[in-house]
Amino acid sequence: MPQRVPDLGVGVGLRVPHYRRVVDERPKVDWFECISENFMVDGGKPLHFLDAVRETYPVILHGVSMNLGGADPLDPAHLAKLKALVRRVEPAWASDHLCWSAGGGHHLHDLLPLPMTLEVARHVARRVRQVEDTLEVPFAIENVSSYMTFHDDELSEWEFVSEVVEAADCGLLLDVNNVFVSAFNHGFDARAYLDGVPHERVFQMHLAGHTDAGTHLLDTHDHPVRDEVWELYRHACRRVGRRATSIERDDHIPELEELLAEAEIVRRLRDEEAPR
Amino acid sequence: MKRLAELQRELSAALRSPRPIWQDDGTRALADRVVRGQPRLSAARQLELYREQFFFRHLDAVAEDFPALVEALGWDAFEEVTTAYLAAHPPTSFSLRDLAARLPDFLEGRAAPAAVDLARLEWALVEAFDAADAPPIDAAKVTAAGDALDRATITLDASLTLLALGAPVHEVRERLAGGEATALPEARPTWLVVYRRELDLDWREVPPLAHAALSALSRGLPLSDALDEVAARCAPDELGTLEAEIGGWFRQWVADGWIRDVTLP
Repeated sequence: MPQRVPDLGVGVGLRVPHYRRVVDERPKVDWFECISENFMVDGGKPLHFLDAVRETYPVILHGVSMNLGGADPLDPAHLAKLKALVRRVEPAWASDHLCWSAGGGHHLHDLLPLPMTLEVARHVARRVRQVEDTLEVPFAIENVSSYMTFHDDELSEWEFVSEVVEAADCGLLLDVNNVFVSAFNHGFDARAYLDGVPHERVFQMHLAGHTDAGTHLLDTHDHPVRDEVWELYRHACRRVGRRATSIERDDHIPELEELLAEAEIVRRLRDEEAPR
Repeated sequence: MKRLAELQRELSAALRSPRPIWQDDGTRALADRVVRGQPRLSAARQLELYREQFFFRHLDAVAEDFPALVEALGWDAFEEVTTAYLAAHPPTSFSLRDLAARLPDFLEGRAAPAAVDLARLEWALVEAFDAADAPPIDAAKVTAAGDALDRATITLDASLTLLALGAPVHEVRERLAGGEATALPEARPTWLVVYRRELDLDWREVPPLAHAALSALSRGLPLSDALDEVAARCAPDELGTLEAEIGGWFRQWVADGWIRDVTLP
């Protein structure tokens, strides 16, 4: 039976250029998502603003480099720092990516796709359980966008994702833009993906912009959410239901108003497609 | 998971290679062997997208922490030396924050001495940015110590870095902040303290004797031993300066938050 987490409503990724305004102006948004690694520090501005934001808003911790799909052992120092951060923030859940990001002792700081096999799914699930046991908060893994697949693949991506979250008994952070990007890059049906994952395990959804490079789409997080992705989000809301959803922007970060405007679109679509 | 470990070890090496995947027989063969590819993008091209991202991402991360170094070297020279740095010191930390910790040392002999100094200053700023917070010391505690202060060990603020530089490279950062040209300065011995006050980063030139005293204190010497060490290295005409100034310096260090605690024996 999947863990239950609250529907936190509509969130925005907390980014450095917006720290001061978020704290001073308390904009109308339900929660903020923070990149965990940016706050695994000893002190200074990051933790000061994190604490200040936390006084007003729920905060969800979203990691980018746990290397859940790696073959190297999980980094105990990383886990310890994340656990300390979890204790400080008390998030309703924490998350990281279904990918590998380090190999042979070297970090690549990227979200690299895994061979989609049952053996790898079970390997990742064991590691996710280790993280869950350590953190003692509900934990979700995010589907990544990708630009390559492997000869070894034996499952569709949504089958692979489902195998991992079921075996790990964890949540799914369903990134709708990533589904769209990978569907284009690998020629599968994005709606079949959304229909195929276990909806009851979806803790949260992500929306972001991407770049059309002609032969492929790049998951750049540097544009507004595209119309096709909004349409896909409508479908996700209808199939999955009402779930906490956040807007991500990591490059060419605009004024806060632009992100808040996108958050309002999320709010409207949630209400239209998955009313209370 | 031996097969997964081997795959990731091979891909990791390929993605960190400075040569495009298709220009290297080994990485091209690896791509063909493990990556499926598709009509729009060959296996090598798919893998190359990730290799390009490795360098874009890490060059950007270093450039963000070393803006004055980028300006002083020019982008092409910065890219060349940073690419070499990434090959010599591949990232071993989960955090990009730690990526350039060894860059200043790596630049020794590869860049002008003033550029090395500038890198040391900019790395000190990275360290100060997220150093541990600490409450200010109660000035009354220092006063109450009386003569015992001589035997006290002094805890400096975690954000402090003491730099002995060959050129006043902090002026480059100041000019950059003012939108001015950022040529490297002429050589001039410079003693600098980099620190964070509340949330704001700052630096200050200090006299060499003050720098030496802070350096001795940072190594855990009790105050009197630290001053004896500095005095032993002083030129005869500097001893009077040290005696006359140390009290004022110490009060200023307390006021500036450079001193976080005194531990009496």
